[in-house]
Amino acid sequence: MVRGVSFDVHTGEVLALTGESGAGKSLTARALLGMLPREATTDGTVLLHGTPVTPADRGRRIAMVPQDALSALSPVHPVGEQIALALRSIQGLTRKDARSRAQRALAEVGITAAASRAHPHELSGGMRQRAVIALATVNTPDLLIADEPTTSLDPTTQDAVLTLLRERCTATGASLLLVTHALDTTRSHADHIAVMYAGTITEYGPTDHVLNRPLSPYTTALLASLPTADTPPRTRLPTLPGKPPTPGETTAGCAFAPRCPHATDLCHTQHPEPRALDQRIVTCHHAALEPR
Amino acid sequence: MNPPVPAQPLTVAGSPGSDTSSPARPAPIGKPLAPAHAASAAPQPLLSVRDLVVRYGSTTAVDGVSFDIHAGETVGLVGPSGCGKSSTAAAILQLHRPHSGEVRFDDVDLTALSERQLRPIRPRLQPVFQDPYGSLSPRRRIQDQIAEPLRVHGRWSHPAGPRRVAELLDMTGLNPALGSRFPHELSGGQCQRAGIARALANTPQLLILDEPISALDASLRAGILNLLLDLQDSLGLSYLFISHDLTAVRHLSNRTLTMHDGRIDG
Repeated sequence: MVRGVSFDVHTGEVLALTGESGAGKSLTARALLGMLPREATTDGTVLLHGTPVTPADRGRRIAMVPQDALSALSPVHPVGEQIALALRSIQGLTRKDARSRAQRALAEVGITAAASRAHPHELSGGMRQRAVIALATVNTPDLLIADEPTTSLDPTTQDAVLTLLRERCTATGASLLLVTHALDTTRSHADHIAVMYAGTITEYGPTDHVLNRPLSPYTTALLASLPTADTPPRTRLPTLPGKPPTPGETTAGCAFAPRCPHATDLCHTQHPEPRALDQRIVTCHHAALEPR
Repeated sequence: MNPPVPAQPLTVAGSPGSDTSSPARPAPIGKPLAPAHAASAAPQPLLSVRDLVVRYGSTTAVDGVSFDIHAGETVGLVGPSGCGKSSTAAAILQLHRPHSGEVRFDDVDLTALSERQLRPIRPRLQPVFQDPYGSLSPRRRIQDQIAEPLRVHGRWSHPAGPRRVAELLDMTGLNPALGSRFPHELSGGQCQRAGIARALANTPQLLILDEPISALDASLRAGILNLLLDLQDSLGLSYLFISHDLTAVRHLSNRTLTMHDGRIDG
């Protein structure tokens, strides 16, 4: 399903893992956390500051902010109590210390003492997401994995929650792996970006380079198909022909070849290898700096 | 009710002669149920919403909204979740009867009509919803779902009916062979096209598009936006385009309205 994916998240930076549904974003994120379905098999290594990640690191060195905060939180405990519990179980704080530390963690994400006594269902979607961010960062992990943390929120709240997420990462010294399908969020919130297509990373590099001067034909076509403020109104947008392959579907050559305007015989018969080009890594036979 | 006006296809200002693009359109299925007013120079809006108020119990979702949509025009409606966009849509369609205010469609106030009186008008204003799979029945073939509006309004016959379904599939960029498939065999983009084909079955004049691209992957959105623009040019449709994607709304719309707490800003 996911094949030959390699990337680095540097200390204190935000890496966005982006792509369309079925590209393998969440699967990659879950593999890092060791939270794959039982029937999944993995190969490869995940190193955090040079040491392999084990399931025991979950919640300590590596933590997760889920998409659906309502199902991630316990419905029967007030949010403040849930954070205090995380502090007691991981850091071994006393009940009293944990409670005041939890209170402080919630205040840092803008949740009042009164709201910390509320149960998850009594809070708005944005508030719940803030509570989950507090829960994920309270034990100062080195890496925070946020899987579509704002997709279920409305657009005005989305930006506020992402800004808060980055703020908390900076404050606790955590790096952030931001899994998102929305390219426009990555533009304003990520330092680096990895674009996935059909289980592989097609292009990986500094956000500015990838979004403003894309090299892989997939990134190029995807960006061209989205209207921007500069697109003349009502003009027909360039579209990508066909549809993404079904997850797990294997092709002899490059997975994007059937939809690629630049595909040659080589693309249909041989998998491209990742190559370094203009400060980034591109997985394409024909990626070149010259405009096509 | 509508006075009988000689049948004349609706033409859009700016796209003269575009109605001749499909000469094989079958009669009478392809003709509007009630003929439209000749839209040439008439300043009369197709849809005129006045002081619309929608309440759910004691909650006021839409609080005095007024706007017009002219023939061939696209009006964008944007705003945060819960501001009343979809409630406005439901009230225009009379799916949720408004508390007060007027919804005049082709100079007829829909709020004053009974369900029975609404029935001949409903085909002329049709919704397209957000969830491409949710808006289709999972248990019925695509072609049967597109044919349903024709059957419901007693316009189904052989061989014109199946021919119209094939034409609708073609108009929305779907391979006619997909007609015999079930929704789960289609992609999200294809299902959304089928939903649009069904909405077009009885030649509507106004489509209420409630977040039609929000549930689609980025690479499929442009295709749907292009399709909506093409259909508008060839059929002279009017759109109310509801979305939180401001760039998409600006791309498609002649005018954009912003809603906040049940009211239209500015």
